[in-house]
Amino acid sequence: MINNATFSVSADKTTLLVERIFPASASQLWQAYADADILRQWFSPRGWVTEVQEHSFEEGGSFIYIMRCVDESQDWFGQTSCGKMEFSNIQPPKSFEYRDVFTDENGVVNEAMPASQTLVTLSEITSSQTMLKVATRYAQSEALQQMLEMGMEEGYGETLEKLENLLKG
Amino acid sequence: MVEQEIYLNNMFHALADSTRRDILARVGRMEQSIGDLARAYSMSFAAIAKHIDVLVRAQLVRKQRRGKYQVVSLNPEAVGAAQEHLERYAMNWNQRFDQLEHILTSYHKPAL
Repeated sequence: MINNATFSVSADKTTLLVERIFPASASQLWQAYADADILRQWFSPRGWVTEVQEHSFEEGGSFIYIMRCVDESQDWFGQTSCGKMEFSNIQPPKSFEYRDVFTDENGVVNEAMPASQTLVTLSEITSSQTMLKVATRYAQSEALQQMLEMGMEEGYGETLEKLENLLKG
Repeated sequence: MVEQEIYLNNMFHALADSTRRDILARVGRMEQSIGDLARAYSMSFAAIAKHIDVLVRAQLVRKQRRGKYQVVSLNPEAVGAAQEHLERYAMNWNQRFDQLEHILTSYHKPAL
């Protein structure tokens, strides 16, 4: 890995944060989301490819995708996963939000699955260095906190310490 | 990829409800039958069973049939599983970001 991202949990334990500095200007990094052809090239994890069904990077617009595992060495080979990002609060080239939902292959939203809300922030450090922050808030409040407390009660302290260290990055 | 998202969503969803958090604490102290839980919360058997199903889906508890009872206990692997899923979540983001960095720095990078 060239340069690892930092992972952490927000102080109120409701949000997972991922941060990484990229060798690009904020507007270059912005294009990585705004341009569907660039987005599809990095959006999937290794061994998966992204097919863009719809991409409209604007207020109320959506990115609808199908990811397909094409790596025969993975257990997931041949499987697909579909999703939709619904964009809001788009403020180029500084920040935007999206609601992440699961869909079927036809782009129909699966309302049974809880959605998460993500805030993406781009902070330009220099004209060739930008910090990307991805903050994902799951369901309502307190859930992560509760999980951590539950674990403590059950004597999983050590595992939880590892978990917290992991989340600190 | 998706497995982590589903797992985390299920877990946060399960823990977002105060009754379910309470059930979790209770079965953490001692395993309980669904009937016991229904009495403890003055809820119908069906209502409790629904909460239990959400907790089972989030892999936080286990449900076993014992004779005519269904017994609910804490899944001892719950925290380990959470850790594993979060690790994979981190790995997936790093893979995505490596790809993004490659695009941003490659000689043939798209016109940005």
